[in-house]
Amino acid sequence: MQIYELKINRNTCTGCNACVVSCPINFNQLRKNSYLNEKNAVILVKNGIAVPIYNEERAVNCDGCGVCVKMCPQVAIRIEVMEGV
Amino acid sequence: MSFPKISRTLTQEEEHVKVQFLTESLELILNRSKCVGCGTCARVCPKEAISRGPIGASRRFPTTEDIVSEIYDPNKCVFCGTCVVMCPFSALTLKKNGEIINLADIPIVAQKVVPKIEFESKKLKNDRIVKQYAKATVKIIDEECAKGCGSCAEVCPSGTIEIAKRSEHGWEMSKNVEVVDPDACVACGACDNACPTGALQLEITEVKTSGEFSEQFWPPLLERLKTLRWSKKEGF
Repeated sequence: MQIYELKINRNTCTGCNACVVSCPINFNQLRKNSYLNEKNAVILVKNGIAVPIYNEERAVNCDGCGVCVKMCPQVAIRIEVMEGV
Repeated sequence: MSFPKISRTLTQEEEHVKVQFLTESLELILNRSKCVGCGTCARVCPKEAISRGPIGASRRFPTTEDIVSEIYDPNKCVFCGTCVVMCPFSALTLKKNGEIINLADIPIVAQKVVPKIEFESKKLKNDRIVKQYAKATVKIIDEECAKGCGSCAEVCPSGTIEIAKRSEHGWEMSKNVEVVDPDACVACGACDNACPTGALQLEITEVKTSGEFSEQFWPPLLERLKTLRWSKKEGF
């Protein structure tokens, strides 16, 4: 089982929310729970900067689909594979 | 320095795993331009040495070096060649002492551990040639689909699945995934492997083989081939 890590360039991120809205896993959680918080979201905007959230305990995490990378207007997101896990 | 030397290198063209013994060497090479990220090798591998990489991202950004759809663990690989035999896109090659081993000369095929796989070769839209040895049906669960992420359509090599284009008016919700041409499906499992939410499930119904096989090796392999990522009901 691979774990994907979203790396965000904090200098160029404007906090526009495009990644949060486009993420399919976020969308599914939003439809089921009608809210997004630190417990169910994969990526969220905090203090004007997008923050990826990884939680070992929950079943849903980043799946490496690359939609957020494509949608980011500032090209500030990068997907990396965490190795040795 | 001690032998064997184990290494994994990554370039834009290939992912390369090598084990160097004192007198001989074994290599497993993934051609990244041929690979679609279907995950057949990951499912079939008896040692679980291959795992699923970020597939959607690897299709969307094929030139980025560090995003690979399949990831090898060189410490677990035993170079049996199961993945090379089963790969529908012949993206994998096995090398011994720097020379490519032919499909018929791989030990598990030569000693009839694996039956002869009866495949038809099929030419797809982008001149990619596929070995089709299985049949499958695509099932779409509407409630789970995120509608518009397009991972499945991006990954599908045969054009079986397409995502309906967003309508002119922004306020109308884009349509769901559509199975355009069920006969074109090559049963690789790429769509099931790439779907981030488990909305698309593939079911492999038939695998065409003939000839002798080992009772210990082939039936569990077949079972692993048929258990796709979302049919395991992992996650949700």
